[in-house]
Amino acid sequence: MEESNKDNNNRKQRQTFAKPFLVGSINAIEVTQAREMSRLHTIGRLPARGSKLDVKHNTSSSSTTADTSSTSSTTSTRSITSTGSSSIVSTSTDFTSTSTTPTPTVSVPAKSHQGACTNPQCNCCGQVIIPSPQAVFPIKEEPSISVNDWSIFSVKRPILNSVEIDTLNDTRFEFPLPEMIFGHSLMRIIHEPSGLHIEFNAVDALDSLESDSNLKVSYHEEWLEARKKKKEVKKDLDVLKSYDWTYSPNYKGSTSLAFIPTNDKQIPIDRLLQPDPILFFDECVLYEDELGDNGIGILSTKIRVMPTCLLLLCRFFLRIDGVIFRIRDVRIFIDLETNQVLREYKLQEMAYSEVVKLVTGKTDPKKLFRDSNWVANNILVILVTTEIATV
Amino acid sequence: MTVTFSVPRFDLDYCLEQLLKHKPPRLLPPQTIEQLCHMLKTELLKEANIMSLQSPITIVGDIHGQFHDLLEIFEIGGTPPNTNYLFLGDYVDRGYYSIETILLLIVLKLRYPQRVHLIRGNHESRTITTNYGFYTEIVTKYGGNTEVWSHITDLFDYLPLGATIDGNIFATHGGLSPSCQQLDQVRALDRFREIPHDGIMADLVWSDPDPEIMDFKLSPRGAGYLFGYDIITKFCRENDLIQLVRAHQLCNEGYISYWGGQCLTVWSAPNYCYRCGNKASVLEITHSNMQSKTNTEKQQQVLPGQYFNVFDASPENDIDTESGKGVNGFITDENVNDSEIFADFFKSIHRGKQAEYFL
Repeated sequence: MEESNKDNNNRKQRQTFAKPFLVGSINAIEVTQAREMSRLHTIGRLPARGSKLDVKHNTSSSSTTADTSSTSSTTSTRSITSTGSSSIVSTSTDFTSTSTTPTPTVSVPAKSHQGACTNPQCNCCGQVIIPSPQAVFPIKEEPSISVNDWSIFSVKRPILNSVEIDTLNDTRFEFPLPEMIFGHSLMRIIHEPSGLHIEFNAVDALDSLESDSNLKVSYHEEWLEARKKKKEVKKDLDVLKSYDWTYSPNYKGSTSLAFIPTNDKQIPIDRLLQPDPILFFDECVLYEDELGDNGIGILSTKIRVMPTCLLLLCRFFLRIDGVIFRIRDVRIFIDLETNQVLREYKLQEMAYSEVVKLVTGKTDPKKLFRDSNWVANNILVILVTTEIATV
Repeated sequence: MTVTFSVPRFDLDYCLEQLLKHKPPRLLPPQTIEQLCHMLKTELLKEANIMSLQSPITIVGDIHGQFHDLLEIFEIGGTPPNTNYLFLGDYVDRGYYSIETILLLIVLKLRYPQRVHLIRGNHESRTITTNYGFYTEIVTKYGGNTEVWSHITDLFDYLPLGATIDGNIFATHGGLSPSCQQLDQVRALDRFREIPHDGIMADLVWSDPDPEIMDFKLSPRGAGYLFGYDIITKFCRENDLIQLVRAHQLCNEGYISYWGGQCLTVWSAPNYCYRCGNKASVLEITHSNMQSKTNTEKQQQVLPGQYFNVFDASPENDIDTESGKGVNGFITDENVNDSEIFADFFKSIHRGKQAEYFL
């Protein structure tokens, strides 16, 4: 009571507290890897500005013409027809390219897209290209695009609620599901003339888990020893029915394409290194589990569509602190002109202690351990297989 | 021997102003943080491992550095000291504003010691904060200086492990321990240490309820426990409790009720990690008399006198995350007036480097 009386003298302070007021400008720096990723993706979504890779987030478009004139990549004239003032109901975009880049047929949204187009417009040119940098709340995004014969859809929805999780547990999965399942999110590529497709979604990925995992958390032994010594713990407790608590999928996508193994074909890295304009970029997390704060297991997909080809990466990244790093990558490369589809499956694994040796002397090594790109570039490759399919 | 020294109240108000009146919130200088942490440690030394609190009180679950959503909680639940708050831990990691969040809570706790109560979660630990982002955030925001991290993680060792409300509701971060049948066993612990891997202190911040089981079970991960219906019923009976309130687990609806309200999970980080799209809630307890339930109480499966105040992510988050700005607490030189108390500090910190472009 005494406290509250004292506090009455400070009513003025409290009122300012309740309503923090706005001040003008805000500055940006990187804070977390997530922040960096988001920013980089924002850059990726802007129209191409020539061949320079160190693209700065530059909202002024005045330099565009000068940059592009000398290089093979194109920033072409665009025309936008948009019905309605602010909401995009139906929008079509025409690309007229210069000689070196072939002319793809692009349709935004995809030809078979149902409902309104939710692809937002580019800040500087107004062109409708790609999804917004971050999903707003509540997250419901269904951007899509068609290039030549191929249509690409990505759907982003919030995590499943407890009713949906219970239903999945009752009907499909016997084991405890990951903490965050984006069960309605998916990434789908369709070849429109034939209807053949490849799709990545969380539920199918969870179907591909092993029934058990031989991995345990780092302090498992220590913990067991300590338990045995305790006199108050008399009886031995049961372990919950074992399952792959790391949620490492053996998932190469849900597809109707007929893939056959190949030894002489590889994803053409040189074509992906070309600074072609990105017509469509999106990423979504399919599921994620923090392993009871013992690390992370995350399955996510990313896609970028260029005028002549597309690349989809479905990556599972596992870090068990003090135990192991694991990457399982599926890459889908589609040549949009020849309709050839390549699927690369790559497994990587390395003991945590080995990875620690790679970062000795760094001030904040744990930061790198959260960066799946850094991990993928630095740990041992166990297996790479490539498959091919033609439609 | 510790020499106590105090920060005058108007200085605490100045710190509050730095955090609340600026957008993005301003950081406090390391020396100030050291002083605040020292003061709070001397206060927390007096607290028991399990605090005895009274209703009415609002219980807040995991926040994880989502500063704007913490302000949203004060918006919907009332600001201290007008509302009593019990925070169940996990203040830092994962969100973009861990340091601002913990600083605000530290200053509020010092400013209104009888109105704001903080307990320890599993993320209030040195190991976890290096793995999950708080350490990185401090290194980035304080230009490579890790002192602030040391001060704050040292402070974490002093946080109490739980609280009782009206003597019959037990609140802790995680759950129950097979090594602990009596609350007095928790009261007898030496809590002033890093959270160990095993034992009562670890279990209190790590274990989870499982509605499918009766007894304790080991987690398939190889460490940690799940507890079932028989365990909680027995624990409540032996300690004259009616309920366990805990946080620690993400739930899409913002709360979960187990076993008809005998155990509640409260989760207070909406749109967790800025992408989960989940709701969040705070638990408002007005009394703990076992009267008949109202319809809302039946629907939420809580005990009489309790209400889950459910909320969505603050719109402020959109401004930050969409335009890629303001996730850092940095301010430019032109915004700092030379006459301001912390002006030297703000002028000495450098902006972060540009991120690299990846393929």
